[in-house]
Formats: sequence, structure tokens, C-alpha cells
Amino acid sequence: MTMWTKENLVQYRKQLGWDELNDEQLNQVLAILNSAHDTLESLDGISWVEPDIGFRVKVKCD
Amino acid sequence: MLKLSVIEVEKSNLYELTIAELSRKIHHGEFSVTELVSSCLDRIEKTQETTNAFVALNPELALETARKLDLHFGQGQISGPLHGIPVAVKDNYLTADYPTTACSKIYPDNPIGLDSTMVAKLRSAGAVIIGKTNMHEWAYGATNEESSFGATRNPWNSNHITGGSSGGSGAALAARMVPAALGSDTGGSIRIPSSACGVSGLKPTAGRVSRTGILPLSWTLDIGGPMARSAQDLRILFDVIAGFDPKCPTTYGICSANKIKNSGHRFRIAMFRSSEILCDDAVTESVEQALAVLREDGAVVDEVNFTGLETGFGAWKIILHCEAAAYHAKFLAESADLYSDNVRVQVEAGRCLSSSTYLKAQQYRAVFNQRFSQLTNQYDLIVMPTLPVTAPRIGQRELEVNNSTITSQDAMTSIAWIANFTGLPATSIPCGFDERGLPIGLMFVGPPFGEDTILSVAERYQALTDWHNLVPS
Repeated sequence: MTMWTKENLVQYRKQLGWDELNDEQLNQVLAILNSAHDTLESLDGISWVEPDIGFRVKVKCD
Repeated sequence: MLKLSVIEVEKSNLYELTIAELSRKIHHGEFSVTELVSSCLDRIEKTQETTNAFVALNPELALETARKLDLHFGQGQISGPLHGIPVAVKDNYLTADYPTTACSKIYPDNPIGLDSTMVAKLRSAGAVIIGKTNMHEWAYGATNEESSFGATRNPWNSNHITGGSSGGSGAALAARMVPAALGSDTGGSIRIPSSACGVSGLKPTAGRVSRTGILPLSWTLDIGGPMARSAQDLRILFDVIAGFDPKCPTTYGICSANKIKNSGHRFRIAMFRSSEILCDDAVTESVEQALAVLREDGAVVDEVNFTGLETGFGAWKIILHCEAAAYHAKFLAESADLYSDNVRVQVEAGRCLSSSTYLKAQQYRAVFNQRFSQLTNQYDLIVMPTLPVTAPRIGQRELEVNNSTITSQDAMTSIAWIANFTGLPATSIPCGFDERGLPIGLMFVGPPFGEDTILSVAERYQALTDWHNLVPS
């Protein structure tokens, strides 16, 4: 995953036919996406882990 | 005459009593449910303008329910453990007789005619649903500033936020409008307003209560739960709402509870430390003082260091945004202009994140939870501040914490998310005030199904301190 830029975000949204966002909205969306990008960069090395979809607790149920 | 006037004064102040006190007095016939509901409605009328805590009220309906309960009581019937207790419900729970809008402009403001499972359980136990409370739009934010009904204001200082997203419930409790409320929690939304408003809140273990009839935000993080003015009251409410629901596939049946690992008050407590948690000095000091109280009472407190919080917080956000985007896809396609900017940009970001990004975050969740379970295996509970700061001012987008700048939204969720990511039970109770008179909250995180444990410690702490009894002037 590469960092998002305003240009490729606008292009991506256009391709999918989504409404246009104003400049301030685009900046805020970019901030969230690039924060996610930073998180992903620190997740290398866990590709073997089974995802934890929701919380599964091992308890004895009557 | 003097005695009569004293009784009258007491009856006009019934809204000040806790659930435990109210139940006892109702059962003894000291006052009627109608008198209690009237007292709460009067109090709501006096404090609603200052707090904006409620978004839907129906006094006539509440009084009609109260009169029916009084009639039953006169015939020797008690409806249940909440007979006559007024309860406020967050506006994302379906309620048969009130509109449910999640404080968005998208949902119609007419009643849908169905009760969520938890609301139905409350009614069966005798509760009077007195109204719906304000919340952050779609529960997608932790400040309660974005709402189609306007921001909720903190009863301790109306220039400050209540925290959210169950901020209306927090404000209603703090302002003594009601003795009980429901909230929902995806990253702290019960505990954050509980901390910011100086009340008590419980986020149950994932699967412990039904989510049927609660408008979703993020399926693998959401849970509903009780809010009240004491841990004792949380227990009363939790006992009513917990349990298996055939309509909710994530709920568990009756499960073996985690037993407290030491008898008496010798709880084994882990004080959670991390260089990744930045807290105001006032918060740190209050939490230290609370631990000193518990230590003095016999608890064994160890300090534990934990890493990976920054990555975990990021992964929690990815899961939240992806799952919320899936739920909101239809609304966004049809009514994007009806969202506030604050919520819309988060949904828009979520729809840009890929499926592999989502799964990667869920993979990290598994790693994180495995590490965290080592703490819950070893200790009765883990203690941390609920919030790193007290409630920011309304409109304050960023704040300084230990020389770092952080958004108000991130500050609110920066610690509380852990319990949703792990699915563990957590409670927030008041433990002090800052120099401006704003409340500080203490959070206990327990082992899976450890509600009894964390509520026991919270009850013990509240028996030894008085923070939870203080009332905004």
C-alpha cells in the first residue's frame, strides 16, 4: 500500500462515481488514510497470524 | 406540620437517590412511582436547557406507565428489580414508543414500533423509559459535539463537552435527571462520558449483552451497557440486561464467571503503564491516589509495562472505519449531504480502505489480544485512567498533553479503545477532579466475563471514597 495523495484520492473517487468532496473534506480523509498507512507499515511480519474477527472467549458454557 | 413538610421536600428531591435506594423505598411504599417519575420530569425540565441531554421525551407516556406500575403495586405486584425506576436510553437503541435517529438527519423521527432486546428487558423488569438521550451522530465520535440536536453540554461546566458518544446519558445522570441510563460503546462511548461527567459506566464483555435493536457502528467492536451513579447500580442494571438472546448470534448463555483470585479485599491489580499513554498530571495524580486507597485496603498492586498501544490504536481505527463504511454504504450513496462533515469524512475514508488492510488490522488484533490475555490471566483487574485529560472545551479541536498535541477525538479514545479491541469488560468510575472542577475517571479492565470482579472492586472503592456522590452545583 502506498501513501495516498490528494490527486490519486480524487481520481479514485471519480473512477468509482462517488460525489466530489471539498478541499477540507479531502484533507481530512487523506489524514485518516495516511494514518492507516502508517499503522500498516508497522504490521509487517504477522502475515501468518489468523485474524481475530471479533472477540472469541474460551469459557465453559452450561 | 413540620414532619409533613420534611416529607414533601424529600419527595421533590427523589431524583437525587440511587437505584438501590429508590427500589428499597418504593418497595416499602414510601412514595409512588408516579411521584418519582414526576420528580425526574421536573428535574429534566429545569436542567435540559443547560445540558441538552435529551432528544426525545414523552412525559404523558412516562406518567401513564408510572400510574400502571402503581396500580400493580397496589395489587401486590412488583414488576421486577427495576419496578418504577426511570431509565434514559441512548438514541441508537430502538424503542417502540420513541423515535430512534442516532442523532443523524437520515433516520426518520417517528417511532419504529420495536424495542431493542435490552430495552425490552428493562421494561419487563419494571423500568420506566423516560426518554432518549443525545449522542454523537451515529455514535461515530467521542465528543458529542456532532448531533442533529446540537452539542451536549457537561453539567460540571456547560462550556465543556460531555465526551461521547453516550454523552446525553452521561449528562442526564450527572445532572440528576435520571438514576439510570443505557449507552453503547465501540471505543469507549460508555466510559468516556462516564469519566467526563463524573458518573459510573460499564462496558460488558463482548457477547454478554444483546445488540439486537442497537443501530450498529462497528460489528466486531460494538457493545451496549449500563450507566448509573454508582457501581452498585451498574450491577443491578447489568443483572437485568445481560444474557443470551436468540435474536443476537454473538450472545453467550450462562457461563462460568471468572472468580476473584484472592479472597477478601486482596485483589491482585495491575497498574497499566506505557510510554505510549500521555496523561495530564491531574489525571495521573488522581489515579495514583485511587490506587493508594485500594492498596491501603489490602489490594496487591503491581506495575506492568505494555507496548504496542500506538499500533493497536491504529488497527482499532482501521477496523472501526472499515466496518462503519460497510454499514453506511447505502446511506452514503443516497444521502451523503445529510451527514455532518465530521462523520462523513470518516465514512468516506473507510470506503477507501482495502479488504487486506482490514484483515491485517484483525491479524494484529489477534496478536495484541494474546499478549493482553497474559495480564488478565495473572491479575484480577487492570487499572488505567479512562481518559488522559478532563473534558475539553466545546469547539476545542486539539489539546496539549505533556507537550504533545493531540486531537480531542483521539484524546477521548486513546486509552478506552483497548477494551473494545480485546472484547474485555471495563468500568469507569469517578476518582477525582482537576483544578477547574472537571471530573476524572478511573478504569478497571477485567478478564473475560469478569464483570463481577470489576464491579466488586468498584463497589469497594466507592464504599471507601465519596467522589461518585458529588453533584454539580
